[in-house]
Amino acid sequence: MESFERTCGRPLIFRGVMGGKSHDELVAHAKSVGKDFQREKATEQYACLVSEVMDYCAVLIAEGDPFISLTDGGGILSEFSAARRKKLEQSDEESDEHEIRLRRGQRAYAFQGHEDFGHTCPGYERLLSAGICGVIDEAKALFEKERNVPKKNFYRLILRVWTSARSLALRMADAGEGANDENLSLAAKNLRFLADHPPMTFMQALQTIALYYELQQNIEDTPVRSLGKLDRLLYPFYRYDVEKNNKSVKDIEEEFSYFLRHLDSYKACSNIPFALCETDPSLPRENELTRILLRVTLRCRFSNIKVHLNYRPDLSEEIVSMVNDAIRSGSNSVVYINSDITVSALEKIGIEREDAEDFNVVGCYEPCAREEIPCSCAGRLNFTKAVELAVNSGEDMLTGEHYAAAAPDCDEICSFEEMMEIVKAQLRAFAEGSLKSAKQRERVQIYLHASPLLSATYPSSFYGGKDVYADYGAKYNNTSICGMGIATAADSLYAIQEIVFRQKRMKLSEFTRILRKNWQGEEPLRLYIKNRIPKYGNNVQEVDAIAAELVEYTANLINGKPNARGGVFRFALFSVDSRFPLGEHTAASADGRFSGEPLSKNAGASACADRNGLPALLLSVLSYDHTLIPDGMVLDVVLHSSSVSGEDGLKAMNTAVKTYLDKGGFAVHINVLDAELLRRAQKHPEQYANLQVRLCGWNVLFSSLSRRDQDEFIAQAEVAQ
Amino acid sequence: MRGKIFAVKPFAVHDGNGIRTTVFFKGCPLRCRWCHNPEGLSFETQLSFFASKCISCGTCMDVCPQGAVLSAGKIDRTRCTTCGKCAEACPTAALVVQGYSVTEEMLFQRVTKEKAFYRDGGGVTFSGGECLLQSEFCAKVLRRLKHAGINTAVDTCGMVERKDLEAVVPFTDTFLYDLKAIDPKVHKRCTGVENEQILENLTYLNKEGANVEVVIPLVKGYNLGEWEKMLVFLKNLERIRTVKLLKYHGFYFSKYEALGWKIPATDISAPTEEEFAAIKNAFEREGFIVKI
Ligand code: SF4
Ligand code: SF4
Repeated sequence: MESFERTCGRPLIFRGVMGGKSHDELVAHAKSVGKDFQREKATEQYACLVSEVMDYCAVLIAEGDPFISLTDGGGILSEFSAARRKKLEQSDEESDEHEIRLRRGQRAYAFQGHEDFGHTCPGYERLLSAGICGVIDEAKALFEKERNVPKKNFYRLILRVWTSARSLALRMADAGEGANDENLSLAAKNLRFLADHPPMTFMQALQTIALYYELQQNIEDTPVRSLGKLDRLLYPFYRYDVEKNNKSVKDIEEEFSYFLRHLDSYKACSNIPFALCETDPSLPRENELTRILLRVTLRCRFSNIKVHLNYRPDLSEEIVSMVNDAIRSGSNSVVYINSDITVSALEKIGIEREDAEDFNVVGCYEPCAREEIPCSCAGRLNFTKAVELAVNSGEDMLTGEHYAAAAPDCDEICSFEEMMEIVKAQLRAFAEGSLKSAKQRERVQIYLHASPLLSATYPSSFYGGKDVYADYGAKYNNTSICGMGIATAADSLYAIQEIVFRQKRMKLSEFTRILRKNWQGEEPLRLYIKNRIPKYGNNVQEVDAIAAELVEYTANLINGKPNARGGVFRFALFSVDSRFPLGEHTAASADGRFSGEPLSKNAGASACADRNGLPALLLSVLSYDHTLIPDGMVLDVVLHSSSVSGEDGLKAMNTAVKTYLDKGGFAVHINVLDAELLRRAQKHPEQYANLQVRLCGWNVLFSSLSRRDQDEFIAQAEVAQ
Repeated sequence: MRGKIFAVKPFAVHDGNGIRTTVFFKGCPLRCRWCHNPEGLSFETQLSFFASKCISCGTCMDVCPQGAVLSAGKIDRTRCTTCGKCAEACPTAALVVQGYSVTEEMLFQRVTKEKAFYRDGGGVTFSGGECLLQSEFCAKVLRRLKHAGINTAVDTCGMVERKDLEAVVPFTDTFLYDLKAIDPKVHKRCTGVENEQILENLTYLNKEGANVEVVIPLVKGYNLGEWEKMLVFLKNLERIRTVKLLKYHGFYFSKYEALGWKIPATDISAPTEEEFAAIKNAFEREGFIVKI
């Protein structure tokens, strides 16, 4: 194989080979099946369609690629769900008073609930130890033995889908063999082997993961949001190759770099993450493979690949240094995840310790225990909106509607403490609204989706004979609600406390009038508040205490509450790109924010409000207990490149990261930026084509961002300076 | 007892070891031509006005008890008592009061807020201005920091009395000692004063066995020709093994303008990469650890 430096630089060019039906034919078919929906579960039709797509889709291969996994079968099942969803919406038109309020709150972006099939980490241990053939054999045996009709049916469908998967693997092998390409022939050989055996070699294990990724992510349309802890998963295959096949570390590096290039070519939305370093506290943090995989990933710098680095205090300083050094030179695809905090957070919502200790992070920041379906983005709740309603007698400033708790007239609020109680009453109503909306969606998800592939990799689901989505078959069927705009809310409340109750500059009713008028004619006051009143993110105890009170209060309203699938709700604290739509629907806030401007990002400070150095920001975020946030939160840190240059700079970065995590921080991601450089990149995108930044929970190329997002990064970099 | 400072900067990573918080004290006996912190020169409290931030709202005029604000941001400095009322009310922080007095307790509390981050060798640095003009106050706070197990550093220009140094030696882990020239005439041209006391004090610290890092700014047109003499001088101070070479870069004119001062001479520039590398090599050849 060629040197992996060259591999990384060359994009793959795919061409399609063979397929019984055209993509459009399959789409049309899926749509028509979806429309015939008569309130039966999705299971049967879904599985049949998945199997048909596998049987008829075309295989895509690329010259010089030692892996084959891509097909043109993506996007077909989503047509089925969309058609069914449409039918469902037509059929449920009941609307009592409660329902109307619920819809108003959702429309106003105060609280929402959705179904979420998009955040999964398949059971890779099972997949790699049994292989496709192993799953088929077991399903066959269970099918023959099973007497219970629905369960027997489940195994019949699993059998059908996985048999199609096996045939597809063989069709892929045919395509590779016919291509007259050394690397593709290698892929073909591996696929042929995998049709009848579990993987043995490193390459076969990687091929299994890649193939499975395509099948679940694109064909089954259940996004795969983690490839698991790759150093742990791949270790036996690596050992096998070293011992039996005389493979060197260099060989393994090359093979992994080919794998990353193959994955990167998927252009998956919001990245393809995998984890490194052990989460189980009783095991060593790393094995021989950890640094090999990390090194290759950092060197290849694919913008589509992301690493969740599992941190514990006993993680070697060298690894932290390796990662930080890469981050400051522009390869910022690594997020630190604190294992101990994650495990405690998951345990607090009733997950058994052993399952918690084997967690993976699915997507951006959301922990998912072993055997858990976390539905990690199933609902959201707008902290800033709660403050808006509290100062406006319970009425939405933009829609003029009432949908949450009743609130007194402004002039009746005599103290800040009363103010906080009124905000909490709104939050209670919002939490109720989001739980209710999410539960409504959960009840219909069985009609929309099923997961014959994913379910076979979850032991609880597979041996229990139940689909993870259509039958709630996982050991833990949980649902997550995300709190958004925390800093904007805390800053607004503090500004009210300062201006109205302390400085007594004006009555609350007057302040509310100013907000309703979107600060019109009040620019000096707005700027005074924005620039001069302390903000969350600066280690100012009084402001941080407000944020902490809101977070902890809301977490307790959500965590552990029963959902509609026999599981519980989990609280999250991130706003990712939702802060834009939520901001658009949120009126001017007392922190100096105009109506429509985005809310604060994730657990961080309001835009450019953290002006007191990194330790201050980190200490503010540590003012609440992160183990109350089982669905994850993250802090995005922006550092200026000059502040972390040289040996001193790297050491300081290491110390900052470790201190934050050791003191109970859940996760942190760092952008090292230079405003000058970003400005140049904005002007000459062609010269900075591979400059990466981290947008919300994922990496993007700076050149691909909208002007608005680019400007925001430049402003942040300037503050960091 | 109270001290007078003008800023506290957390997350300073390039002055001394680890993550540090740097305290800037008011007042300095030197007038370096390239000074980056002109607001630290005078011991008196001053009012800075940053014109680019002003939105001409007129708030400052409304609140000034002395009628010292003539128009938006335009201050009659002869009438101004630096009471700070305008700065407090200014919505954009275009007006800033430079200098405030703190008690030992206040300063101690302020710099220990980030204590968690001082592991791995980090701590607190006293700088300025010239912090040792307030040596008694510094010594009291440094002592408390030491007792709290916090690493301490003192950044000094050395133009202080011997007793000022003696007061802090027991509580200072590292001295960052600025050296600008050996030739007294060159020194005077650079800083406005001669350097006898500075060289004597450095010799004293060496004799005391204090841990000293000598900080040498290299400014073309001023002291670039002095480096060989500095090298010879430092070679004779057998305990001093670490130097930090600072390449002069850029001026903050706006800080001067904000104080209502004339912009100082601009006949100043940085050494070239080659010149800088040659100096670094020469120090290293003599066995110095050179930080940049
Ligand atoms: S208060 Fe500040 S912004 Fe307003 S006129 Fe005065 S200096 Fe300018
Ligand atoms: S500092 Fe006081 S006296 Fe001076 S201009 Fe401002 S308000 Fe007036």
